[in-house]
Amino acid sequence: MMPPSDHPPMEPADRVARALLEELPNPPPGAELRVRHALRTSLATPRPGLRRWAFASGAVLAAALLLFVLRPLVSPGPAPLAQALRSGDEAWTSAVIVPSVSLSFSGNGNVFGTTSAPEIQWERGTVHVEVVPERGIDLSVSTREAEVRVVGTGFSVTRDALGTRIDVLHGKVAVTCLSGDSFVLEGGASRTCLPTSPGALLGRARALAKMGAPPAEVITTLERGIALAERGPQLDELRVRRIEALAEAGRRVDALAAARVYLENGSPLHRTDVLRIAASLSLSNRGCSAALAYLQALAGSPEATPEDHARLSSCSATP
Amino acid sequence: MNVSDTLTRAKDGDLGARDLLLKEWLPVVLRWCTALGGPRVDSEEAAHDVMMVLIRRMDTVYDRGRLPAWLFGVTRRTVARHRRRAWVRYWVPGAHADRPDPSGGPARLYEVSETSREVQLCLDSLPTLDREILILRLYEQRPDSEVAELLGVPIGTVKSRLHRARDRFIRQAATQGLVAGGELGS
Repeated sequence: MMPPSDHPPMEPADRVARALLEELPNPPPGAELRVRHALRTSLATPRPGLRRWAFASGAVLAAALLLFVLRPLVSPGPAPLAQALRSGDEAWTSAVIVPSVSLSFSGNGNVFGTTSAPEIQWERGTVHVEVVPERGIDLSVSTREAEVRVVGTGFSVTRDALGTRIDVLHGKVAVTCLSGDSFVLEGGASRTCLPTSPGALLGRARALAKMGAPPAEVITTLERGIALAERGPQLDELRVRRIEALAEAGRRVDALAAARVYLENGSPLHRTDVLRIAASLSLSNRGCSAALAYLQALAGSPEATPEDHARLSSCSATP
Repeated sequence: MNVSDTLTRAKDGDLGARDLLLKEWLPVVLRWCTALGGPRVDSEEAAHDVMMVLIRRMDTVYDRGRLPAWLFGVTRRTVARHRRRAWVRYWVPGAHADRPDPSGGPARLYEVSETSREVQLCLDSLPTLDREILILRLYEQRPDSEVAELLGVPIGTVKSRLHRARDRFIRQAATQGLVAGGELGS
């Protein structure tokens, strides 16, 4: 592509169209890794081409004869797999996808790959896997956050708003998180691969807050999302949630500073909420004189409540 | 490795050269599939199909210079096939067995803002040729000559098609409330 300086000047309408097109979503995080995975699986599965059929037809009789003679000695090659895994809400379902691999799961996913290299693409919920060791089974479980490879062990993979958690019951598994971490987990160990996109990190922060996790963990998650997000509604939401989390954590000075920066940046989203937080923090920190400007701005907002007006009246009356 | 050699060596079965080709072109193809496929197409599945064609039929690409146009041609045909399949799934109940949700589930919904979805729908409503020219010329900012080569049309056609596509896109965006009326026209 041409560098920007080599482009002819854009017409105004072109600029408008381009600004809109820049809002198009990018491929989801980890897409390349998953496509490469799928390509490896597809290439490992033999596919007869048209030309091969021509040669194969002449050899079929000879092959059949040979197989008949050698039948006791020949074992079939790996067969391709394609199976959906679906269980009802809160229900657990068992399945044996190949003789040496048994699953029990509550959630959704799909099985691809071959009978010797099954590949479970897990979307949500928990799947528990038991692989009989020393049967030459190369199994992988992949989610949007992680890839787990195993040869002979028992483990669970749970994917929810918090990310992908791997719990190993016995044996060893090799895990690669999309964030770049790679590690080997042994029996009794657990690790979580965190989401890698701003939206998913926002989801994780909300889930943590709902679970009552320490505010510091919620703040760390939000800050990770802020670092990744581009300008727009998602970044605004992450910043506002961070302001709330800082206030809840008792970090009032930090919360007020962040609120001030947010209001100065002029985003209309959540403006009333942030004004309310800034007014409350200023009132509790330094009283009416510090809060008055925020209360006045809040009272002028169409979303102001009677309580907001009452606080302004009260502060205005204060000498 | 010299880029011309990469294709030649990949055709000869050199897996390292094939990996280099995948590394160079998979991100581009994924971007094309995401932008051109629209919200109902699984862009990863489409990109997988495109790369499989590349791997299996790269011997029909006669020189390195033809590869981008060849690959774009495969992408547009693959995306068209996936869009038809998505249409069948939408209108014909039970036509296909359960498949992964191309929207990516709840986590993906968080990642795609409301504006992104609206723009995607706006683009999706346009004819295929309009979408292609907008993505290649305005979104990826390729020069007219490169776009002409990818689409297999003269440069003059690129310019005239771009104006029509752009105006249709902005008009549709205005009906969806994505742009103000004053931004219509040059």
